[in-house]
Amino acid sequence: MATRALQTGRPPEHRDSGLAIVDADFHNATGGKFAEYLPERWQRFLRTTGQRNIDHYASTTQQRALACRLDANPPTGGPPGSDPAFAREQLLDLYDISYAVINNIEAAASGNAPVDFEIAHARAVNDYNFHEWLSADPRWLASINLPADHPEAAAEEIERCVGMSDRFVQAMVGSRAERPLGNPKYWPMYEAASRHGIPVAFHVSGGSRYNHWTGVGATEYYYEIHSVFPLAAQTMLASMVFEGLFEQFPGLQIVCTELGWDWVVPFAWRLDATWDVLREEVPHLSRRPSEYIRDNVWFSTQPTVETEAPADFYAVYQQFAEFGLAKHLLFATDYPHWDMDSPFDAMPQMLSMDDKAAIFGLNAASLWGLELPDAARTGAK
Amino acid sequence: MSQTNEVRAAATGDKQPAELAGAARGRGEDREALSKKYVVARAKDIPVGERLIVEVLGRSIGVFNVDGRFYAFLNRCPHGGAPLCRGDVVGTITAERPGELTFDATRKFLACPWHGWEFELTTGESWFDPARYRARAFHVDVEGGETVAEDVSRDMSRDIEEGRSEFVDPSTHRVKGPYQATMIPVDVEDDYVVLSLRRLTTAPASETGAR
Repeated sequence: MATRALQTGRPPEHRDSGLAIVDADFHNATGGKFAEYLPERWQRFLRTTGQRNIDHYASTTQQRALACRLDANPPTGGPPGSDPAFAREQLLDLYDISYAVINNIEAAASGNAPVDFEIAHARAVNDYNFHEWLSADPRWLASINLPADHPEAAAEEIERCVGMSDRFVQAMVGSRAERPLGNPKYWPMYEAASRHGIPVAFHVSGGSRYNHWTGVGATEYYYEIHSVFPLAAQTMLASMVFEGLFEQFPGLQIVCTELGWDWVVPFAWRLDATWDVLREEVPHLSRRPSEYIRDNVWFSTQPTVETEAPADFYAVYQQFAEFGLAKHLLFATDYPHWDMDSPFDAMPQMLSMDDKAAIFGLNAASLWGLELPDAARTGAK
Repeated sequence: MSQTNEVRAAATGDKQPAELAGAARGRGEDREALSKKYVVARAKDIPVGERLIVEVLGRSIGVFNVDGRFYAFLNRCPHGGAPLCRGDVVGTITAERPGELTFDATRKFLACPWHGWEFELTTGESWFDPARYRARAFHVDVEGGETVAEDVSRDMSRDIEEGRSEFVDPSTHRVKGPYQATMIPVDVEDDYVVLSLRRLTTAPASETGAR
């Protein structure tokens, strides 16, 4: 509808520019419907015992109920992200998005329920996505929810979902499991992903019995938590690099989702400097740590970097690009969360058309093997 | 949160809200169109605490009734492009020191439904980044039906004489259209919310800032 286009959709210069957009981080909500996909035993468990999630959402403020935009409640009722048609209208159609990857993080919690429930929960969410979203619009793609702390079951679930549809484009786990995620405990999961050529994504996630985001204790304010999401990613990447994950699975691609990207280059320098002096401890590494990050790790953009002076954004981006990660930056909205990035307002105009084409669509297309509209492919090299 | 009423063209169909002067419409508006006034609703149709989102000259605009006074903003947050007018109207909270909070219910802000950026209701000024961002506020007023009707009638006559009205049926010289079923019928007994697209304040701030 014209009203929306005028309001927040594509600005005039991008109506026919051929700029294809892929959203690396869309959130749906089952609104409890995942239960219909559980075995009877776990449906009964839900009814009689219930989940004991230490819930991320419970820690958001009233102004940010469910961590969502105030205008994202579907007219049909249910929580934001529970109505495929409304999400399509408010996101895919409004911005003319070619694909959006569904990251349902309801089952990404870890250690808060019986093992078999955690496994069944992840399966149920995947089945819900397959039956109620992937069939609703060809632009939806989905991440495979995994019970990360049960890596053999996670590997089986990768097999199962890849067998169901090639629109399960990656696996996904939360960013705080029992151990840092490079630990060999988790390697069966990475082995399955590698074998099928799909990336493994990490998303900021909710309740975990094991660890806080901070690594040093619980925070008082939601504001604090929201500011320190990248800390989990730093611990995790160091773990992956130094455990030798990328030596074991050289083709494995890791996607850091909603974990920031402005800190990556200085962090990689730090890893290199540490390796220079402590490499005897990790003789299994054949390359400098920064090289694994450059070749094996991808980052989503949201929440965008908001610098004090507008021009500083470009300095941050340039550092990232010159380091060699320009082709590993993936645009993401985080719809329907309150800190969502709208494509044309979050990414500064100062980026060149080629940079934008890469960040908005071409990088994602190469990572997930997506076909973009013709114009997009010729739009930038 | 108050109910958000969204309407196109204030009532039904694709027509613009009733214009107090003439027939400029569409996106190719000129200075004259911007200086005109537009009847967007009956005053009683936007009760205290409610808002109405209307479309005027291709712009989505939210009109708010806060404690009996009307305020109007462009429905677009200058920070991140959100539909600003679907946000909440909130008071001001300040603290002299940690733990000592003061809530001022009288100083009101429009808070964006996404990132929560707050804009002063009376000016559109941002408290987050006043140097770079300002929400676009419009002048809005309540006028009596008699005044509105007179203005409408005078302006329509002028437009008809000057051949500018799209609503004139050339064979009958009768005026059809916006003051009938598709638009807001003007009734002298009612009060009307009248919007002007000129800026509320003269102090300019970058609308788009650091996009």
